Amino acid sequence: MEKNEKNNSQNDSNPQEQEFKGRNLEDVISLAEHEMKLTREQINYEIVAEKTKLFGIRRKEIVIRAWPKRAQGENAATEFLDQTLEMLPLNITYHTKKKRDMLYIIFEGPDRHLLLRKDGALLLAFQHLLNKVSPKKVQTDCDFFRQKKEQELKDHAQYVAQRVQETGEKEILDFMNPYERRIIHVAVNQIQGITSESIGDGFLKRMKIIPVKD
Amino acid sequence: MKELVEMIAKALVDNPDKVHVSQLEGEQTSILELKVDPEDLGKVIGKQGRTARAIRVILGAAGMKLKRRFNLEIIEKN
Repeated sequence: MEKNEKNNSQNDSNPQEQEFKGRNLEDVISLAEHEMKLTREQINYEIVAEKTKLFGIRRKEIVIRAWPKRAQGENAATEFLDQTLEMLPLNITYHTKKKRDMLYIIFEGPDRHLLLRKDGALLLAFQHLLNKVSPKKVQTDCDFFRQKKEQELKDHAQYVAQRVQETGEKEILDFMNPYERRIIHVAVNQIQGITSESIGDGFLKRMKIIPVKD
Repeated sequence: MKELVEMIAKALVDNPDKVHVSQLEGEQTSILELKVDPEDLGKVIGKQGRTARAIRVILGAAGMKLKRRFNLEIIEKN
């Protein structure tokens, strides 16, 4: 039995992974809880397929792959994070979500506000280090920081883009990282007659918002 | 904090057995001196110092809790 498991883990499929099917996510997770005899907090899962079969809404089907959380010995990221949090005098916990090739780490706990100080400096520091040790891409989040940040950037980009549209004068934005610049590009390009460009080189670049001339 | 820096550095480098951290205690500040294999220097510093900065941010947060300053110094000469 043990030998078998070891052989399996060679190709990165987890021997303790199981697939569950159901009509919606809630159903499938309940099923997984029941079958694996674990609570949902102890289960990691990823969605394998989600499809609406032909003819009717009731025929929706969702398939997840679930595995127990602790059985993730191969996961360098969570191992590293567990060790770090153990040594840090901060009261922070986390849970993970796997989606395609990404590993999402969502922080919780009484000291989580420290993660979000200075524009999420600690949150992003963890993300940077986790990406160094993990073969999978990692994104960290806490209290919907990402969502709020994205909304803020979008609003700001559209506000500036509108001003450029009115005045016809280009404007230059502050230094931003690639993730932030992508959000700006997408938001700006939704407005007709306006486009954006990154200027400079390095990790942080400034952005130019300019009117398109025909 | 010495153990923390050591653990993080070991996770980042190719030669973990060459990682050495020493901690010097001041009145309000602790200085953490990190030595690694010269080949691994880039790994603990990172592009434009991003990795070193990330470690310092983590030390800063710990320091807030402990009401102490932690200074990370990466020693270049062996």
